[in-house]
Amino acid sequence: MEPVIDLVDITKTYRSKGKEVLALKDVTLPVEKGSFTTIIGPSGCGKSTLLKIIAGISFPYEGHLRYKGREVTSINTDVGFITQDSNLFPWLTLIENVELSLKIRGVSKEERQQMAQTFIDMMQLTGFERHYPFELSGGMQKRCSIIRTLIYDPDIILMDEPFGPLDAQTRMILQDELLRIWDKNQKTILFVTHDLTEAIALSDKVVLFTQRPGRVKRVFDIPLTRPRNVFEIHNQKGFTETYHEIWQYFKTEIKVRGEAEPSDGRPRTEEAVR
Amino acid sequence: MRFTNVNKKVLMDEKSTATHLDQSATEGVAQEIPSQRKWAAIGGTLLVLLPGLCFLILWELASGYSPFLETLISRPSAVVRELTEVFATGVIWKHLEATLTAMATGYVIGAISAVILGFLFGRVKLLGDIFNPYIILFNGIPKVALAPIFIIWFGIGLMSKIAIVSTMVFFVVFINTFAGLRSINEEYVALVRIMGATRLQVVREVFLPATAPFILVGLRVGIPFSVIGAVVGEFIAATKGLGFYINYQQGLFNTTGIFVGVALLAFLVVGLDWLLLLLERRLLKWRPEVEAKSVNA
Repeated sequence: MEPVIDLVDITKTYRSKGKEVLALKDVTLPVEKGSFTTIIGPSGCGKSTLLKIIAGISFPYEGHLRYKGREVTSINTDVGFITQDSNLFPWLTLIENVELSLKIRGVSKEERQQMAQTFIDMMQLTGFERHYPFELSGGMQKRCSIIRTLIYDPDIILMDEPFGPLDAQTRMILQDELLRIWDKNQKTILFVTHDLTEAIALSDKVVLFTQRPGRVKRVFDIPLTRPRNVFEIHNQKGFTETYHEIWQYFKTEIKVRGEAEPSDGRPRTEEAVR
Repeated sequence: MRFTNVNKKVLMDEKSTATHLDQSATEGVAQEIPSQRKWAAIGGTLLVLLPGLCFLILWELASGYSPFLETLISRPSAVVRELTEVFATGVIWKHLEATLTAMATGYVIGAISAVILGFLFGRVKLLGDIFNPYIILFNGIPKVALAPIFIIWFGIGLMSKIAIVSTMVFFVVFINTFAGLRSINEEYVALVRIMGATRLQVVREVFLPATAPFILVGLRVGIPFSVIGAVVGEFIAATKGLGFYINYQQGLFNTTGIFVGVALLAFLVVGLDWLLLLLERRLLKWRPEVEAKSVNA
């Protein structure tokens, strides 16, 4: 089957303080339709940059990015982007935030309100429709930011460390909810995190990135059966083995800079050693 | 309901905290003993009024000390008497009207052009980069110092006053609008673009609401500036207006008359500022700070 997103030799440099910084180097990564793929790597390895490239909001770069077989040349409105900060629009109420994408896409007021209400009920946010974001807890804001993306039914959902700022319990609850939603509608999800347990609990496939400049170091298939229980993921058969296997490769990437061992024998570029 | 027990419980906890927070603002008032609350409010108001009252009493007593001092500083009771008189006889109306006309027209022209240009310079990066130093330079000029040149260009009367007022208002509103646009969270822009927003929709859904607080600050700061502009114009050359009235009373050595003019100007600023505050509360109810302020008031 042809991958829905096909990244071939993506290299990205950006300028920072007059210096060229190499963020990604020759990233090749096919993403299959309906899969849950997680990119994991040390902070600053260009994981977020890769998601921005896929969304078509980070030009220019070298290499090819094909979406459903076609080269991406501008913003891809078939994707949904869930950022680390909830980034709800503070001037809109919860329901208005959920409705926004439909309003932009010209859906009538009654229809979009009805749809928004369905999603709000699904996420147990009922009763908070008229609240502004500052009146909501972090977990509620995150739920809202998830359903405002789901509501316009994007083919691909890009999630950039979405649960990072949440406390451990809320994070688990939301991971659980995310898995339920994904089990139901089988969207293609590309998830970014630096939390290995989270990566294993959620994904079909974990892609390990090296330190900057980010490269694909290794891809791991996660053998855990579904449906998974994120609350008991440590006890699930195969978890420990998988965790240790990935950790062997991951830990060499998170050493203090300068001490980093060459990860795969290839000479490192200057930026990475610096 | 497919949630596990743990799941549900934490969810409920989370919700109840938020509900509690929300209710404390509205129901908290009702739950406390109402009379206690009322007395606290009255006490607070009295405390605020106290220094003002003390000042007026001291002023009144001081001017009774010697007739010479009274000609210099007038007295509050005389100011109030003359204030009612100018309205009773109607002599003040044409002055009020002249100042208000210049202020309002200049304010509207200055504010609208400032918002339009602020958007242009704030969002078209090249324009902003080129003109930024000039904006800083022009903002540094005390606009009052331009008044004589406007009077040469536009003559004595309404036009020159409008020119002064609109220049002064323009800069405060412009600088704020510009700053607002430059501080927009680019992730908001990216998010609506991914949702499929057109250029116009980005302006309507992100730029306008995100800069509204900045524009409103500019508009509020602009009010006293518009009064200063009009009065300065009237000081320099005019045949009517509150600035002219104050100047004229000075010629008569009537300090009471001067204070009447000053008091009217102060009322004007406070009244207009209050109107804008109402507008701000309506437009910015999504901001926590505004909410807190309105609860205190």
